[in-house]
Amino acid sequence: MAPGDDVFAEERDRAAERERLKQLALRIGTGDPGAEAELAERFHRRILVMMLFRTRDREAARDLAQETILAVLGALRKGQLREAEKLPGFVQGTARNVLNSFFRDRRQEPPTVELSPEVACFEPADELENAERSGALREGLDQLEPGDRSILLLTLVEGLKSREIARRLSLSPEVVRTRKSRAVKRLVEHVRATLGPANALSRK
Amino acid sequence: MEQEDHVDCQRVREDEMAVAYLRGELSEPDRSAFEQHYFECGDCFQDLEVLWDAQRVLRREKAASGVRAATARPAARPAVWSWAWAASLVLVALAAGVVLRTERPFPPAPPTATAAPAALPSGPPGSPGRPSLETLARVEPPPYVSLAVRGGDREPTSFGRAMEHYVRGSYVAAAAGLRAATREEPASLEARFYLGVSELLAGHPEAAIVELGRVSAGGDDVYADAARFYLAKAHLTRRDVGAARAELQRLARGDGAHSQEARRLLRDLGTEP
Repeated sequence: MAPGDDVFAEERDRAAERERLKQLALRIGTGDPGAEAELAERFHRRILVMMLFRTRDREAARDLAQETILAVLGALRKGQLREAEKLPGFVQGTARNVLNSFFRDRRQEPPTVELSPEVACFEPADELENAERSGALREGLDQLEPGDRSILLLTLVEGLKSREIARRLSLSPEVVRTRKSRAVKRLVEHVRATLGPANALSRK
Repeated sequence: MEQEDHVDCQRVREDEMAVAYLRGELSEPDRSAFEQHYFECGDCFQDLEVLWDAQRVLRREKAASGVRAATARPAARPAVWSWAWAASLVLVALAAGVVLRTERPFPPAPPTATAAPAALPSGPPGSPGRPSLETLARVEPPPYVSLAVRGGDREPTSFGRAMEHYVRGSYVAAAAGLRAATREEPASLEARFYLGVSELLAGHPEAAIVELGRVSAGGDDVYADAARFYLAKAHLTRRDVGAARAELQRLARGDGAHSQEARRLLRDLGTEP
């Protein structure tokens, strides 16, 4: 396959994806219950991740994710999305509105306060825990080169930036970035290969 | 309304946005733009989830290895030092004409999980049958094992140089080096933890309390429990039994690496958890 073929293939995939989303939004507008389930399946995890990072409150995140899905479905049923292919942005915008409303109701600062690194490293909610995926991930980590694994550990656990890791390991920051991104790529590939692409990481 | 920068896969990779998002280090416009991007992009959302999982797994593994290391091995020491200690013990024993049953340089390894607690006489530390406060305050240095990284000769970093002193048992030099390392890498809890321990071992419990307090308050489960344990030791060194008890009671309520030893210390202090 020629190098340019990958680019064309990716562009084709993106165009097909936009068309799928457009059709999904239109089907919801016509009251198709299967389409509503598909929307929830596609966006629920993303919304939950966003709410968890923003609120740092598992219970609130669950409720807000549910509220967002209901608000999106309500709006789509009423045909309030003018450009159906912009569905992801619409869902994310709705999630932000729900979140802002949550903070207003709780008389808290809007979500512009910086999270401290230690606070940001909370454990994911049960919905995001998956023993099978964690097992696959451990296998993937075991298969990494020790140096790549160390770089991941220093990044994710110690919270060091690439230039700090580079200084500590006497590598160039570019090498650290390359090895980090290689490690992530290999982990993703391993998890996909182990669990299968359909259910591995809610890629939809 | 804040202006959001455009984020695409290339920028996510180049700016390491997923890691920064996980660490809570993105500005609000960037965070929002990154969220907008992962709502659209399956690949970047995958990367984020994998990184999040990896963070959790690595943290748990590191915590578990810390438990094993801290409860199984003393800190690495030069062989010469060990032999010197053994020789001095023999000389002392011969001179005194008694069987070697004196205390070891560091407290014994904690009892196994199944060991039944021994009944102790009542009374404060130092009363008949109870270890003295000095004995309870005694500290065994947590071991340090450097990360194995491929490659040839490496220029040691500030942290690496400081930990060479630490491994040799030169805690004053280690503390000075680690203080410099924490200035270079303020976010490194590892450097701050060993700085606190080194200050304690160098005879500066007040400085140790400051550093270990920061680590224990950091919310990082890898270091928080261990920091709390050595914090308790620092309070004991200052004969502040109340503050030590408070730290030990928090540890004893959990099931972390130092929980059992905390319960034992509380018993020795005359306070059940």
